[in-house]
Amino acid sequence: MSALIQLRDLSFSYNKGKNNQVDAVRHLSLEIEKGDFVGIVGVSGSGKSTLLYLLAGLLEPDCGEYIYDDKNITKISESRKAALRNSDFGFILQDFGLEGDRTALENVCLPLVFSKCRWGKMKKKARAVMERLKIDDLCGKKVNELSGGQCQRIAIARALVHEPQVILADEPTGALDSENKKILMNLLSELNRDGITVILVTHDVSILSECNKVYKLNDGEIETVKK
Amino acid sequence: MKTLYLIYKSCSKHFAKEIFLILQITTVIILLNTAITPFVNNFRLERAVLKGIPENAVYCSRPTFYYEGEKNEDPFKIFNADTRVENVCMTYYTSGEVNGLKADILLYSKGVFDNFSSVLKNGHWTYDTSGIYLNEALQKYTSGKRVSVDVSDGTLAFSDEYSISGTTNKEDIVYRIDVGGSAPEISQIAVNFEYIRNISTAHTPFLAIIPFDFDGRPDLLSSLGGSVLVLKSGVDPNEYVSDLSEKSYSGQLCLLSELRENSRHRIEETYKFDSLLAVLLAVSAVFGISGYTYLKTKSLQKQMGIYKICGCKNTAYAKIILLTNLILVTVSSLAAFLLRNIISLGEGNDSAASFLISITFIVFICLAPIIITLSSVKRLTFSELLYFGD
Ligand SMILES: Nc1ncnc2c1ncn2[C@@H]1O[C@H](COP(=O)(O)OP(=O)(O)OP(=O)(O)O)[C@@H](O)[C@H]1O
Ligand SMILES: [Mg+2]
Repeated sequence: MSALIQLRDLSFSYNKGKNNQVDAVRHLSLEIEKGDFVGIVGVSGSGKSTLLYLLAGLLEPDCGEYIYDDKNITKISESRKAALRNSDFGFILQDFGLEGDRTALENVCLPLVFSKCRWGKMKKKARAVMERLKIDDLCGKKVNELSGGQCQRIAIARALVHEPQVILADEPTGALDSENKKILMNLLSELNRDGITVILVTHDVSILSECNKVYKLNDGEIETVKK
Repeated sequence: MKTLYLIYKSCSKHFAKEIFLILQITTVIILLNTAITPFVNNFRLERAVLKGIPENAVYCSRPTFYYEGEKNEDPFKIFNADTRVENVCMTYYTSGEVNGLKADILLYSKGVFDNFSSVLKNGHWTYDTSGIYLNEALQKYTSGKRVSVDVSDGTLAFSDEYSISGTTNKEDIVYRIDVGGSAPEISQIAVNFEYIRNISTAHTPFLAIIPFDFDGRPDLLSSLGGSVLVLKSGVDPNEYVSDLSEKSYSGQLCLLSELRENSRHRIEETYKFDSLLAVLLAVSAVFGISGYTYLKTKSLQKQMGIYKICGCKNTAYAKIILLTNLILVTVSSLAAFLLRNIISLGEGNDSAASFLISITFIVFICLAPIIITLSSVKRLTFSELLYFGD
């Protein structure tokens, strides 16, 4: 069986063709199996976030191929990519990407709004996930009234609510203290044991022990650290 | 439900901006409607003249009746007896105000005939003689009292006592009655459209306005019936009018040229201001709604980065903005539609056509900014969407 995610010679540049062109990802090849726990490290600006955006189909690569679950993502339409993000990918953004003037519950519901989930079931599902992350007491609170750590967990709840196959986490421990970091890592390992593929971007070397594969990005080029 | 939720989320707090915009659009529709009404009406008159009204026509405004006793009199008698008149047609009329003056509103167009012929084509009518005017030939048979008529697909059948059959003339309001017998006689019947107006719900907009102050009794204006006299070819309408003594008939005659001049005069003098107003309103509406759409698109861009991560399709973006504008325009149009009968600006006699033109204009300016903004958004990359405004 072929790997869940296959990247072949993938490149991406911002502002392509202009004089401020940035080659964020260069000729990158990578294979990720279903159930892997992958860590991606690298200095700031090395292209980690860009790689995650490419994996989620949010950016169009300039060249190369991206195969996900035997589907050539570089070739499918924008709306099929959107459907795939809605069914298979859970994204935890570096700066959370929450709607500040909305309640935590509304934020967690968002992926379900774009799915086929029935209107009546949405809140129930969101509450269940929030209970699991022990943030159900934050349900009715507006996001911009919450602390960074609380926001972080709401962002995680949002990434989990639609039961994705792959979790793409961009520095999820950034805003957490060591204790909460531990709780989060336990949660991610738990999800990983349930068969969910986790791809984790981080600066923090201490949390890499959970990963079965670790890659390092250097100025857009990849280097295997642990396999 | 979900789309409505997304629309609700994209709206401002307590719908403040939206309510303001609805008020603006409603006002624009009402005022625009008022401003363009005379232009639309003039256009209709010109078209009616082009299509239907013969150049050698004279317009006559006459009372349907003055007093009870005069009800049974044939008001066309004088014209029917006049050899210079080829045809007498009734016109639909109503009354209104022009520059504070009560005015007789005359109407003569094929569209009217089409409208009414559907009313007239089928049904069973019982008219008293104030409802149907019979000329002398027909009066022989009906003795001018009551007539009941069955109309089926344009064919008339009178009550059993009279073996008269007839056909409607599509080109005119006059019914031709063919009386059988050894010496066939062709006769005509004219219908009182005041009567029909009262039984039909669909009001037909007027075409032209001729101010009248009938014998200083404006209360009589509501019972004024207009008619068109089609003169025999070769008869000069101008001479005909000056020839006819005022006392010999009850009413007032005017020429087609006067009718047109009146309409043009209204546009040139009275509605110079209105046309200016229409242009100003159009400009203000363009800025109002396109500004709103532009700002909304911008604020949605930040949200859209988040939405995209959660699996929202690009088309949802367009759908939200499009539907919001659609709801705004629908609510405003509805409000304008309800209000235009209450707040009657100008002469208060707008037509469905001018109202439709106003709304079409608004819908158009609502769509234009969306297309422009969306095409510019398509070029933005994901990170530009996500970190927009940061
Ligand atoms: N929208 C953009 N336009 C132009 N250049 C960009 C854009 N986003 C990122 N870059 C550039 O691309 C390179 C990779 O950026 P990326 O965000 O992937 O780095 P990163 O590894 O996630 O960094 P960090 O650890 O600070 O989050 C950087 O040099 C950055 O300046
Ligand atoms: Mg980053």
